[in-house]
Amino acid sequence: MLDLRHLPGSDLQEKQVFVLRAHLITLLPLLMTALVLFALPPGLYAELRVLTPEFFDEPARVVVLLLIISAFFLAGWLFLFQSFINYWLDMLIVTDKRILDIDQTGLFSRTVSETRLYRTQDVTAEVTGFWPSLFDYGDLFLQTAGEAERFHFKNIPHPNHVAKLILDFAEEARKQALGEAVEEFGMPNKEKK
Amino acid sequence: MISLYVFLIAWLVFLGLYTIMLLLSALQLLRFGVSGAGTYLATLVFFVGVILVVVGTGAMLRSVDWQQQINLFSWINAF
Repeated sequence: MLDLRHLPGSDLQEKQVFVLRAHLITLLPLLMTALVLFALPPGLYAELRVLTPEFFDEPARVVVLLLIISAFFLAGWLFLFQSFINYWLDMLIVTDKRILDIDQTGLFSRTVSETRLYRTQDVTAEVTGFWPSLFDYGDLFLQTAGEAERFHFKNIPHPNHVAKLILDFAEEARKQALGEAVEEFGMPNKEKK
Repeated sequence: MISLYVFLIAWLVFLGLYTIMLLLSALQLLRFGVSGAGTYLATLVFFVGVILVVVGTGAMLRSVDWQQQINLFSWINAF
């Protein structure tokens, strides 16, 4: 469960609706890279054993090889960890008051875009391509009142369903915001001509 | 001829820098990854992975005589 106190500019009365990250299938290229990375040292070891067995005649060489392999594994593991962090910290958060798009572009680089839920005017889901159609993921574009630029969430799972949910929540938020405005300022008087 | 100590020291320096990078990465994840089981589990898994590699390497290198001299190029020159 998400702790909303950790969100930028959190409001204590805010309630979380959902948190979305890119579809897990988008991690597949990373997993393939990891497999290749971790298969390289055993492959190198086997190749040396077969092609140049004299390499292992001197134990000191094996020690150096071991240190290199160990450093390689550690570097690969860190690369995986940081790629995972990029995936994990990239998220779309919808609360009952606002929508946050957190875009992690590097370990120390992130952009947080935020819009009030009641300002949402139009949500477009876009699923293009074989894999996105097969696994039902795609991009979500969100147009808000007074903003020329659209919010863009990439590789969201079930984008059509999410688009509908956001529109429903936005409608609810608009009603609530209107109710609060009426409560505070009263109903506007319509003067008769 | 190079002493094996040189390689050990280079590896330890690498390990020191690596630890700094790992801690910074974990800190970023825990700070911005919003508290949840997934965040803690991922951090734990990655730390366990690092510990396994370091401890495994340490165990394999325990009995090494680091004062040995090595000529890396003798093997390359054989080709």
